[in-house]
Amino acid sequence: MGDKVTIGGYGSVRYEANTLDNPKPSGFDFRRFVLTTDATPNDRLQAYVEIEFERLAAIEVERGLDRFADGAVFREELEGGNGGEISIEQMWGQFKFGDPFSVRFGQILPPVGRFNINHDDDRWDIPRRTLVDRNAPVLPVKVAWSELGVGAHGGVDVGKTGRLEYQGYLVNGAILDFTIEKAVETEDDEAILKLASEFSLVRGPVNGEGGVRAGTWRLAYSPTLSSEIAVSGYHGKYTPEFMDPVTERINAFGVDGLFKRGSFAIEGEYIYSDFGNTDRVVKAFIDTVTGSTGVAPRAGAAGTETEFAITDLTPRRQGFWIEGRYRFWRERWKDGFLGKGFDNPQLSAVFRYERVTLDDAIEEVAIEHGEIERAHEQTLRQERTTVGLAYRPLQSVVFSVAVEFNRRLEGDVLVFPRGHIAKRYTGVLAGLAFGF
Amino acid sequence: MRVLLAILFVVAAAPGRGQQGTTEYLTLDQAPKSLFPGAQIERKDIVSAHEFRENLRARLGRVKPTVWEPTYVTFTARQDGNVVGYAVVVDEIGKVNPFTLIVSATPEFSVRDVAVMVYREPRGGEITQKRFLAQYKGKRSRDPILLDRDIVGISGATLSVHGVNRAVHKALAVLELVYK
Repeated sequence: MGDKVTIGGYGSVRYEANTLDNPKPSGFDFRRFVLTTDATPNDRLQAYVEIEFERLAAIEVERGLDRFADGAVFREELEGGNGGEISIEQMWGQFKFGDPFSVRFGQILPPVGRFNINHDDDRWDIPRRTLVDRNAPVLPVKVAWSELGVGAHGGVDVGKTGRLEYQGYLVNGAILDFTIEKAVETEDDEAILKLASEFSLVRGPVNGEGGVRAGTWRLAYSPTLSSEIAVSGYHGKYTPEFMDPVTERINAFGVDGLFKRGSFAIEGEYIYSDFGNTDRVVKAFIDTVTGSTGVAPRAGAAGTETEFAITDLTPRRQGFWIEGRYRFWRERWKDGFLGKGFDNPQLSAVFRYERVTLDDAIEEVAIEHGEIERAHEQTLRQERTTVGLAYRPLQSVVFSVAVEFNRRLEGDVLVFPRGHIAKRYTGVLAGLAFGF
Repeated sequence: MRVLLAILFVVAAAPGRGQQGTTEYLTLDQAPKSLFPGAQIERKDIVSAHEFRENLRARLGRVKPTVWEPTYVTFTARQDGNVVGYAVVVDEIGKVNPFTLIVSATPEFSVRDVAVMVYREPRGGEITQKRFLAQYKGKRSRDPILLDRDIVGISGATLSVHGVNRAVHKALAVLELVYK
């Protein structure tokens, strides 16, 4: 594409086995394939797009109309694997006023913590993202979290070796939004078509209807090339308009850092997210569904069922991860099967400890069969310790194996995988991630 | 509002030292002078014929350059008649496009300074930071000059860091072949 447009990307696959009674996730997992396009028509102009295919092998749509003597059948089929997703992770344009100040406009990554802005799988030596950023998550929306907005970023040198960098954006912001789930069930010799409207916190809308509700920022100081410490935040309303006058906000703060010395690196992140008064959100949700009558809607017509639910509400979440890596290689291995033909192959021993706490978490409030069912609040806490070994024949290709030890510290169920009652479990992971 | 517009105007008017796209930081005329201020500079172009290239390849060993220049532009810097250093201009590819470096060495062939002359990649421009290039000072051809061994990398600029490593190896090898 000449020197104006660069195509790149990354991808990753994983195998997982664990000791849970009903292990899920387990088996081979196509984590994601991300295609990036970087267009730089001029030194001061840049456009960047990241399109993600996650756990998606194929989508197939079939539609048809069959006409009979007595009438017709309109038919639509959608085929695809469970959990599959296509999304635009990033899509922004940038104008550089000067080194210390560039304006970026589009779908950007809220710079809260350090994982969201460094989420490429080939960067990491453990083939699973962190609890804090992905599996729990403590971050308001799981990684890779993007929002539509505008802002500025830049950096200035401080002294001979230091550098100060900043980012700040106004964005549409994460919002409680709903999905309609369809299910066909059989029960007592009866087939039931079940429709569920489920609300959960997702990244903000991109259709220009929700307004600008949030701001996000990051300030990082790097005293030397081998160290960095940063603070970051996200602040904004997440309750949708139809819940007015109830207005609740997310206030999330992060502290993260990186320190390298020789072959050793240590990196970590702490995130605290406050979601305001979630009891008010639950009440507003119930009021919205029940309307002026205050009565929960009864079941639908014969053969159908309806459910309204709001999931994963937590007034406060917090968690951290800390990861140590030791990269090593011996010259005598250069002609062995790991080293032959590669300029700078590396092995890494990696250790990660992480812990998350979801205070007073409510898994679900559901309105079904004319009743309001509210799961009891409980604080959930889980820790995970991972040790692993990674082999990088090239810097952008990593084969990794890891063993993770999970322990439930508080609550009746695990945070991840959510709902499992095991007190502890062990997982074995093997993965490949590549960038190009 | 006026203050904000004034700030934007001043920043916009500042010369861009871009980190993306093609950015020329130093011309061929400026580059040796910036590395040897006040010195007398003598230019010598070395045609990389087959024999020279084979010698260079042998000297580089495991290091595999991505660009084999047809001609190496080299410089000798003198002060008061004494040689104070040498320099050479080399190209290497970061991810897709080549960038151009000038590497200067002491008379003992240890790196004196590294400067980016032209950077042509949309990403990885962090390698132009002085604090990154400063870590090459004192490196010799026998040193590994490898990421995470004796060179600290930069997140998001890994391929460019590899490119600089190769470029410095190649520059030292050229200077040793020509001037040692």
